[in-house]
Parts: sequence; structure tokens; C-alpha cells
Amino acid sequence: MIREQSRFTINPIYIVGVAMCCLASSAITLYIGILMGLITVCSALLCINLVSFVEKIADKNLRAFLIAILSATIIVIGSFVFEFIGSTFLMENIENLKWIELSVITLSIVPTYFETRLTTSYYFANMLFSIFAFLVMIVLYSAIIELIGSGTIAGITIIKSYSGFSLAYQLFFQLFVIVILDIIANFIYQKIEDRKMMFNLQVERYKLHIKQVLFRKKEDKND
Amino acid sequence: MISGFMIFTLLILGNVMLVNGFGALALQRNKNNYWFVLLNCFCMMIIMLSCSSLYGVIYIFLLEPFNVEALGIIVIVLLAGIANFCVLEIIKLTNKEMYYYYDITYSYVINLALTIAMMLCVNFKQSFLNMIIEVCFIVLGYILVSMLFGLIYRRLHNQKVSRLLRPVPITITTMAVLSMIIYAISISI
Repeated sequence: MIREQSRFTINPIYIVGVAMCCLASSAITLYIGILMGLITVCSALLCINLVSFVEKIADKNLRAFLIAILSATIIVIGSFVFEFIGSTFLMENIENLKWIELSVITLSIVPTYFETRLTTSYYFANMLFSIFAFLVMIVLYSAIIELIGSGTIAGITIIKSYSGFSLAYQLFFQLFVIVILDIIANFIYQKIEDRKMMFNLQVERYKLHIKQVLFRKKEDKND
Repeated sequence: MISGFMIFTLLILGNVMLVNGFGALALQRNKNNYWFVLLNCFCMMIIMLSCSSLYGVIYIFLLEPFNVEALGIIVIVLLAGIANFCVLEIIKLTNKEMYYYYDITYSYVINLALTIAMMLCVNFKQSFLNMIIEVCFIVLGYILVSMLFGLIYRRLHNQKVSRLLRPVPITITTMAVLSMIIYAISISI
């Protein structure tokens, strides 16, 4: 476990932050954030798992390209489905679907390019962690932007809206919120990683201790 | 006609592409080789100009007349992927060192995402000439900010950073600060 972590050179929370940047300007209310987040998560899981079937015959760049093509196809199908359903909420968000393509490509970087450096369990855990962390963070982000922008969350008024809150809909402010969320998530992630590392060190120490005890017993027996 | 304000807006848009973090992902690994940053910028310029012109022609003659604009994103991804593959192969044949950097910094997927992002920002419904001018300014903005971030990152990566910020690459924090400064400048203009 420690060996895999030392070879793992990219922080998954950073990847999640960059993936969120793509949806920064479209996920401006809680409902839109949930919709975009769910579509991104489903597309990413589907594309990564489908492309993993051709892992042995395609190199990592080709796999990244295949993931991009598959997610673009899913987005086109999604837009046709939205048009078919015809709901006002979905029709308003058809234009925002194209930005999901970039989030899916970003989330697929680690499973595609760092696959050989990780064990199967760590690869699987990391992929699920980054994809579901993305969902949680995009929902949090959209709730914050809706709260600051219009004083509501999911349409329920929490605080009085203020004209100066139009800053929430400016891209630069949105990126700033993403960075703050990223730093907080990274702090929690580093604490969890530190605890795991301490646990693994303890395990290694006990293994060494047991080996020494067994070695001494063997020596005593020989004597 | 392109006004001064439009030029500035397009330059800011190029910055937004980098501020979106994609360029920062590649810069995170490029800190020791500034020539690679220049090569990347040059490759992006070629890819963007060729893909945008080709997509512009496809849009005018195929997508718009047959009312299949929804398929545009698939065409964009195809063109971006093929163009990036061509660039990868050219670099592989010409310079082994640059190809090594290109490979270890997962630049293929970063450039693919950047190309798609920039092409999604361009308005292909306008005239071909205006579209090309818009693309040129977006690419120029990207190149300016990419070189600027390359310089900043080379200076900052050896500095002491607080533990809270340390695992998050320094580019994302400088990116956020820079974006706020540029926002303040654009508001004042």
C-alpha cells in the first residue's frame, strides 16, 4: 500500500477540482448540480469500464480517445432523450450537457494513465472515490452558488437576496469557490491517508517483531 | 469588426481555458523544461487552427444544412483526437526527449481536453473569417497565460508552502488568485 502511494504522483482531489471547473458556469442551482453530477458520474463509470475491455490491445492514449468518443455519444443520446421528455428544466439544460464531456475526460485521467502503477483494489477504490467525491463536491458547490447568488437552496429561501450577490455567477468567483472546496477536501483526504499510512507502518512493525520472535525461538530450539 | 474590448475579452477567454485547470495539470509536471512548455503552446496553436477551420467547413456544409448540429460534439472530439495523435507521432519521430516529456506528462489527454474546451467556446454560427479571428485570439490568450504560468511555477515550486496547501499543486492557488486579479481588471475596463 505504501509503495503504491509513493508512486502515485497526482492528487485525486486535484483531478476532482479540475473536473468541477468544467461545470462551474452551468451548475448554478442545486437541482442543476445534481443533474450534471449524476450524468457525469454515470457517463464516467460507463465509459471507463467499457474501454477497460480493450486495455490489452489499446495503449493509454487510444483509450483516452475512446473514452472521449463514448462520452460524446452519451451526451448526444442524452440531449435527444431530454428533447423527447420535453420537460422545461431539462430543455433549459441541454446546452450545458456538452461541458460534461470535459469532466468525464478529466476523471478518466487517473484510471487510464496510472493504471499500471496501482494494484487492482487500490485502482478500483481510487476510481470510485474520485468519481463519487466529484458528485458530492459538485452538489456542495452548486448549493453554495445558489445560496450566495439568490439566497435559496433547492428553491427554498434561506437568506434575503442581495443585488451584490450577482458576483456568484461570475466565473472567476466560481473558480475561487472550487479552490476553497478543493483545499478543504484535500485536507480531509490527507488526514485519511496519514492515518492509513500510520496503520500500515504499525502492521509492518508488528510483522518485523513477529519475525524476530520466531527467529529467536528457532535459535533457542537449535541450542 | 473587432473592437479593443473584444480583443481583451477573447484574451481573457484564453486565460479561462487555462484557469479551468487543464493547462495547470500539465504544468505541474513540466516545471524543469521551459522548452517543452513552448513546444506545447506551438502544438496547441497548430491543432486549434487546423481543427477549427475543418470543423467550420463541416459545420457550414454538413451540420447546419442537414439540421444535425447536435452531432457537432462528436465531430469536435474526432477532429481533436486525430489532430492530437498526428502531433504525438510527429514529436515521436522528431525529438525523443520532447516525446518523453510529452508521454510522462499525459499531454495527449490534456491537449485533447483543451482543444475540445476551446472549440466548444467558439461560435461557429458566425462567418468563417470572424470564427478564425476568434480562434486566433483564444489561442493567443492560452499561449500568453501558459508561458506566464510556466515562469511562475518555476519560481514557486521550491518555495515553502503551508501544509494545508502543500499537496494541492501551487498552480491551482496561483490560478485562483490570478483569475480574481484579471476579473478585477476586466470589471474596471
